[in-house]
Amino acid sequence: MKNLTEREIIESVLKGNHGDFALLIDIYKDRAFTLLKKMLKNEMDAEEALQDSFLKAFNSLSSFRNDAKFSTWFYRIVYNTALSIIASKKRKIQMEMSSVEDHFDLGDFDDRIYASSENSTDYLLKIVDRLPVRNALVIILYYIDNLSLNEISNILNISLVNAKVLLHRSRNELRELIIKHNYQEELL
Amino acid sequence: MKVTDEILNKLIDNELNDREIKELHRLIKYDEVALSKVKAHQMVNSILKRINVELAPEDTTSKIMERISNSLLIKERKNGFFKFIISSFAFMIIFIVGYLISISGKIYVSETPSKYSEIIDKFVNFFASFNIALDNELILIIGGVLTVMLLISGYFMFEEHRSFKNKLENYL
Repeated sequence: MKNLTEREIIESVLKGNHGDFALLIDIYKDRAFTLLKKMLKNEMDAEEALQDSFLKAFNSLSSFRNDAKFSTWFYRIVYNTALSIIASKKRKIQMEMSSVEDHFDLGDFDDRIYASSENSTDYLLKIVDRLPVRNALVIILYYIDNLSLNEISNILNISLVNAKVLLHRSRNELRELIIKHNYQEELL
Repeated sequence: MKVTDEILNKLIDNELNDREIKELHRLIKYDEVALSKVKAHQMVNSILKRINVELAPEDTTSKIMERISNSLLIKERKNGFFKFIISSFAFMIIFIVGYLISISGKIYVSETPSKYSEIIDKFVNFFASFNIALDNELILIIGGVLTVMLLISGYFMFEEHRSFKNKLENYL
């Protein structure tokens, strides 16, 4: 495997070495797939969206500005691709996508998830899967991709303040669930 | 100081200064509820750091590269077709211009002979050889109709390409 930086890979692809694009795919495919699965809640759709996203990125690579970060640019494509799939399938998640006022409405799910969880980690990760889409995306981009809130706001096309609100609100709600089930006592 | 959501998030993000941290420590020493909140918030943060990346299917890279190769092939074919159309335009324009020059050239050469007259003569004679075909009215009509059709289809192709490009840019 070639040992090239992202910038070098992009330059190489733009020079006509199209095969080098596979290196970029290998870097981002898993993280983008995680993001897409959280948005589309379906493995097959996520796989299709993943391929479409990389194809779009390849076709518009010449418009990528070198002063920008590739991850931010690419995740924006991934996010928009997922949004268009959602729109085309007319999924009823408008409530989740419409505003920053998203709130958790777990209903009976919390009890079911709690009953089926082995420990606090298992429980919380299952709850993350039930988060409103944008809350889940902010968490993934922040914790898995280590992106800054500024970068996240660019990807999701929301203000920096809204990105911060989504992250903090998610943490606060998850904290209340931890307290509800007294999991914090596991900490010494 | 109260243990608010804002303070807890600042604690997690390392945005509290030394004085605020000391005050928070003093507070949770005597307040069980505040201590629970801090513990739970830290727990959330540490668990979220452990979210697993889901692996994409193994053949993802090869599938995407295959689609890229196919799209490049289609692009090449489209470019070939586009080049064919442009070449046809160019050829027709040269043909018509040449014909017009050959008519006007005859007059020009005969009236003002110069040192370039020999070159112009050759040029005129070359295009004059097409005169036999162009003198035929039917061929001229067909040529004219084809040119108009090509110009119109070329215009629509260009417009479609431009609107698609704009859509793509807006989408991205």
